[in-house]
Amino acid sequence: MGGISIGGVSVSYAGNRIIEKLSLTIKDGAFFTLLGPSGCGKTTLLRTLAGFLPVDAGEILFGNTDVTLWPAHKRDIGMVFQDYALFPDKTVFDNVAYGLRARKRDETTIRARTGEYLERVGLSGFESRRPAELSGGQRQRVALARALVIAPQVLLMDEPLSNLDAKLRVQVRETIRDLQKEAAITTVFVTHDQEEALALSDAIGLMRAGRVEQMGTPVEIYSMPVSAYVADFVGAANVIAATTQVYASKGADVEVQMAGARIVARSVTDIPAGPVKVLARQEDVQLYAPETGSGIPGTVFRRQYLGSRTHYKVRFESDGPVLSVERTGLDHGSIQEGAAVRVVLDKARTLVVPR
Amino acid sequence: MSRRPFEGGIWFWLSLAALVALCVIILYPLINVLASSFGAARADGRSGWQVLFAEPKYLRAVGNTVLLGLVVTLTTILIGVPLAYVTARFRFPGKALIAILPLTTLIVPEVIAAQTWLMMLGNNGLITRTLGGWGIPIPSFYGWSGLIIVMTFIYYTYIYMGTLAAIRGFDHQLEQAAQSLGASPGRARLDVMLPVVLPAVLASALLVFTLVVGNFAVATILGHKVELLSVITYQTFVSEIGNDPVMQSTLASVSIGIVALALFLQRFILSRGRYEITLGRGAKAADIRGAPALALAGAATVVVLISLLPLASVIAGAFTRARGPVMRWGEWTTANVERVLINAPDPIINTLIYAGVATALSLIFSTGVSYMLVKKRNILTPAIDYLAALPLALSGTVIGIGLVMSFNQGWLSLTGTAAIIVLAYLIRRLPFGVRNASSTLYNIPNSIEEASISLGVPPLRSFVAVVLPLMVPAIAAAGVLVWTTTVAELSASIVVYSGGRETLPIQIFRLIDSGLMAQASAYGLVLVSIILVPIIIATTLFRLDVFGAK
Ligand SMILES: Nc1ncnc2c1ncn2[C@@H]1O[C@H](COP(=O)(O)OP(=O)(O)OP(=O)(O)O)[C@@H](O)[C@H]1O
Ligand SMILES: [Mg+2]
Repeated sequence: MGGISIGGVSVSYAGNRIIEKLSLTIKDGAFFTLLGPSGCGKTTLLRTLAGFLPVDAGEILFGNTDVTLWPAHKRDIGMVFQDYALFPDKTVFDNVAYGLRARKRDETTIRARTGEYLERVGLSGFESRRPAELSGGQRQRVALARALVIAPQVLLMDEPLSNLDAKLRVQVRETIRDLQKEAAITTVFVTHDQEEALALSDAIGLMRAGRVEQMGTPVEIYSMPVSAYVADFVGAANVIAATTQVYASKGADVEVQMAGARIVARSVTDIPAGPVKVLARQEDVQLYAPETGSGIPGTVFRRQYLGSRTHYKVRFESDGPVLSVERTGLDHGSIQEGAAVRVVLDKARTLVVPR
Repeated sequence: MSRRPFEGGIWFWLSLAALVALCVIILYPLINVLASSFGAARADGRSGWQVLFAEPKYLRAVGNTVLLGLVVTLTTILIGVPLAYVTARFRFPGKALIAILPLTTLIVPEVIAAQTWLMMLGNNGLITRTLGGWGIPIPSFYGWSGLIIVMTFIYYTYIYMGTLAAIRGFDHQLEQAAQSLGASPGRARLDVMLPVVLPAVLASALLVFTLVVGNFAVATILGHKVELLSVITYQTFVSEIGNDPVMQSTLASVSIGIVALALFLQRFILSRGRYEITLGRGAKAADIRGAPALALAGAATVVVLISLLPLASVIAGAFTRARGPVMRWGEWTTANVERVLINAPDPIINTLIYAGVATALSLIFSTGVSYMLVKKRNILTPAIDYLAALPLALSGTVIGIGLVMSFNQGWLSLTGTAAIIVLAYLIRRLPFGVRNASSTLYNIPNSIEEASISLGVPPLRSFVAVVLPLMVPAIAAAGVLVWTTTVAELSASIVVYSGGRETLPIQIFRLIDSGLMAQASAYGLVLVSIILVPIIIATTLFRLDVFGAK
């Protein structure tokens, strides 16, 4: 057993570099999520880990074993494919038992384990059906049982929930998490659904064009994004152009000039003086009555009441950017359209990133 | 500097092996044929090409072949296209009969079709003599008239099937859209339907043209004084075997050139217009009644009955008493059939063995090659793809001559063996097998195989365990079709066979040449049964869609 370390891996398709010198480490037994927009190379990386694509450079370690040159069938992985990839001519039982048979387990063990995993995914009684006679969610769960029943060293899942309806998604993802935790299988999960990633993962790697832009726990990714790209991809954020007069070191508070005012925010990396971006999540922006005196003056020009919260759009008086603001709490709907407000950006929750 | 020492390796070597094999059995013979046409053909050192242009006999043969090809292509279009339109758009009594049309060309080998037409309309033919007895003389069936009529009725089903598929896939709404824009129904049909259906008609027309140019059986049996390329190529081969292969190579090269030119023209026409195949809902067939319905039904029935004539006459001929070449129509006997089954069954046994081996090899080879073409592409696969399709453009005679020239002696001497017949069969049916297996493989997602590999089963075993079972129905259907066309193969096998290795079509051809129609019919009946039985078993017992594979 052990985690996964990827060191400087590059992968190309027909001469096109898709993954460029990518390195990351996944802890033993962790649930790791690859998150990123379509086409950024998530599936490519997953297939490389599985051994279906050769690497141009770099190395892949499972535990302390270098598996870079190992063929897929020797890597002891379980893989859940985006399109399920069930064997259409085999029954549910034979699908799930396939990997155990390949490992030459005796028939009693095969029966017992297959039955156990089918029960866990809630499919007892479906043993003799064929994939065509199952619903999408049921097929999904067969694919899951088939990958888990062999107790693989590494579990790889490529958008396994993408074809399910909202309710089933939540249900199946809990099953996945339970089964994974119980067997402590190091898992790589691919998705482009940020909520799924935040809800399930021990760690998230956010990808951008073949590289990992940021790696961290869900809390770190959400609350300390290293770039506007990350902030915008994981939960919407206001991105405001600003400038600094001085060099800001990582983690320090820095004064920035924006929308005709000066505010203080926290720098996420070392940033030289000059143009920067300010990030503020919509639930972190405070709106106060104009007579408060502090904050940047602005006007609410749109209000959407959503029951548990209210969305506002605010325009600064100084003709700066438009801000999205979300208010919860007792009187979250109390501000009317057209009202003058003061916008306050709390320095603990407002970040400065390089332009 | 890609580091790929793993499973890419085995497929690379396998595809290299396939490429080498294809080069040896297809490219090498072809190059031999083309190259030796430039050798000295006559004592004075003139090359084959100089002789070709100097001797009118050869030029006439080229002209006749092209003319026959064009005329038959035209006549088959004239029958096939209207028939396809009528079956696609109308319902009328007796329409079900037309459904068996594709069967007739498939189950009646060309050599039998030619023979049975002769039995009816030849100099000693049943109809000729009956009408002659009544004082009605009918013109000789040999020469142009016989060639055109027989080839038309053999080949029009290709046009019919190609056009029917296109019309069925044509979106009726397109036609209505054109009408709503103010075009008259006739105009609308032409304007909108033509660009969609034309490519299909053109493709099947090219196929017919290729088949006519390469046709050996009908051309030889009915050609008589009309010189045709395939016939004189064969004659040059038979009479000059061993000493002067140059002329036969030149003639073979000419027929390759004609087909290549036709292929090029088709591409050219298609590339000039913007023809697209739009797949939409087909129009519903309309009911028609009354006099038009009767006329349609009548016309369609006539076409089908004429197509079935060979089948009926081969059965009748097999059981008719004959004295030498004279058929005693009306006097029944089982002697002919007993003779071929008990006294001289060798051609039957040879056919079963050679075609059986060839079909098995063909399925294995084309499944393997298709797998590489579809799932394991590398720098070699485009060449494999191209080479495997090449036999489509080569007539049987050309393939046969190429094999004899290439494997006559030296490191791989096959002349006189059964292997060279099997090889000829294999090459002729390869394009079909590969196309069929490839289209099946395209429908099987890669992930199924990867799922098996990820569960710990090595790549080759994964293919056998999860992909192959999914291909079995399609492979079986293709097997039946390969079998039916292989047992009927004549033009290549007659070039490469040696005494004692006669197959059924060869034996039938020789008997027709000697005028022994009754015996030829008896062998013909056996041949048709060998073709029909697997089709019937496959479609009824295993419910295979044999014709869907085509
Ligand atoms: N077989 C292939 N041949 C060539 N290029 C490919 C192939 N498969 C993927 N690519 C390219 O590699 C890049 C990354 O593709 P990949 O499938 O890894 O994206 P992804 O992050 O999984 O996207 P999605 O979220 O849409 O699944 C894309 O630009 C894609 O066009
Ligand atoms: Mg993907």
